[in-house]
Amino acid sequence: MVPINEMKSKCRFAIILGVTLAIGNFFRVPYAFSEPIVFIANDSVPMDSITRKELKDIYTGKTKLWGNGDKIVLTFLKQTDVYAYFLRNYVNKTPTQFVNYWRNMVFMGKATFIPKSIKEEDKLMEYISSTKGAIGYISSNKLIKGIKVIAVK
Amino acid sequence: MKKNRMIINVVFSILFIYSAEVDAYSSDTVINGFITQGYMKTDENNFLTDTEEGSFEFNEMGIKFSSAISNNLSIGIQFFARDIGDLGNDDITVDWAFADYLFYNWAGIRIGKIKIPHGFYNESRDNGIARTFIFLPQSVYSDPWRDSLLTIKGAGFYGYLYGLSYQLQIGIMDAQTDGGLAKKFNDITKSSIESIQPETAIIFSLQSTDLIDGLKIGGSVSKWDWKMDLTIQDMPAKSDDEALLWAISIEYAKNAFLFSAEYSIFDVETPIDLYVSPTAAPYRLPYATNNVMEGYYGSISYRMTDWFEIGVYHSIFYSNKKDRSGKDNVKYYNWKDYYSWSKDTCLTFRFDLNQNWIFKLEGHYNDGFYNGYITDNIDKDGNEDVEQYWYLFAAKLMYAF
Repeated sequence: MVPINEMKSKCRFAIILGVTLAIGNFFRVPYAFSEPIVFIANDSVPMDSITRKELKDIYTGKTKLWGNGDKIVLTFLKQTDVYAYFLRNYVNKTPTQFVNYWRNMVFMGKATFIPKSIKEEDKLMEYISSTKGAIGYISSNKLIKGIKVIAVK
Repeated sequence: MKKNRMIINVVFSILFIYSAEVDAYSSDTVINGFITQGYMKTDENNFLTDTEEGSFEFNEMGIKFSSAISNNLSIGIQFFARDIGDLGNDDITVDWAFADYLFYNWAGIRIGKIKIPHGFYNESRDNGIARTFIFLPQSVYSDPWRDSLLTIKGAGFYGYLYGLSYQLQIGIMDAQTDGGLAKKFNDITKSSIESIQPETAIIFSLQSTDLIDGLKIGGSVSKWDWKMDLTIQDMPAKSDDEALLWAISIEYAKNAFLFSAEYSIFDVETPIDLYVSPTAAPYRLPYATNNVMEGYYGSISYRMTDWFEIGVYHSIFYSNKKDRSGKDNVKYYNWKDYYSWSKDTCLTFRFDLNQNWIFKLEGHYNDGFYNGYITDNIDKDGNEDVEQYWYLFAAKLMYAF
């Protein structure tokens, strides 16, 4: 027979859980942005195409080196909609969760620094084209010239 | 203690000013830090500090310096201080410090003082930045054991291959006679630990990510040996101890939900030999020889907006899996039975005020008191004053850069 206090404890947990989910559904804000993005990389990057899993591993710091031994240099376009779209569709995190994820990596000693973020697409492309091992993304309506495009399989 | 606080304040003041001038995203020497201040209040029982009165003695701070020397080599050090009741007292410690050489994605080494991968969250427990909760579930991440099971000094092999992350570490534990482990041992056996001599520890963890999108499963196991010199009722005693700690973990992220569950066993052998007289053979105390501690929990977090998250967990811990009702502890230690378990239902609200400031509010309904200290709950007449059912409220403000 289950003791009365244990039953009370279980009931309390069930009530808290129910209230949590109800409040959660009430507040939830859907993401409206659905513009696709394009991945670009420095010429030194030894890949022309990449899977979504490989991208997630790279952007969560699990994969740190390219196949040729070069260090992977992550960049982020910090434009709000593109950034949120990228994080939600490729990393499954909100912008705040993502920054905190990398801070956590840094404070555990598993990352040296939080990856570079740049606000303007032109500057991002300039940085990637001049930085060995760099990878990043831009919005697909941007005219891309003289930089390697990585196809997502 | 005042001197330490002053040093910390000065260091942080300088670094907060300095950090504005540093390119935090460069790959040169990079400085990051965090500081937290919390408040705890209980309706009954002092938990870790004087919480019945309400206590602000609940803070942590860390500052990290790291540098990528080459494509493969990086070095870093994090200084850390915390204060929670008798533990920490804002003494500055080296939280971790190691050189890290990554040969390939699947093979890297670390040497120095390294965080231990027990469960999914032990390595990140010093900073609450990524998690929803203020307190990790005490069933798997017990605060009294925290100091001793956080890091080892030694070497580690790690890597990532085909969705599997693995770590193998060898070294010695970081046990202090004024740490949480020593205080808990004193609490249980009414003894005083004079010295702890850690011996070789070995730790292994394996995690698999994205078997299906968002699913992470893993396990960790560690073997610990140490010796202790004790004093029990003014008589010297020795203890030659060993422990096997393991945990299995599962985490599933789907949309704004994060589900987690972990199960942990801490199998501890602590035979105590009491030296009643210098000439007589030691007397083996009939208790405290073997305890199989068992803990498990389930949690759900829900990210409602980018700035607001809510989480719940239910956590259960037994100090002896073979004696969940605590009868043996009543017999041997003259405990009340509910000192032998901790059952905790927790509700947390997390507010990300911006990308640097985080505020958390948390409530706990507790049954049992294993994860607190009985010695913090002695009344004016010298009697134990511990209630079985009690509430804990905690609030914490955190700044990270």
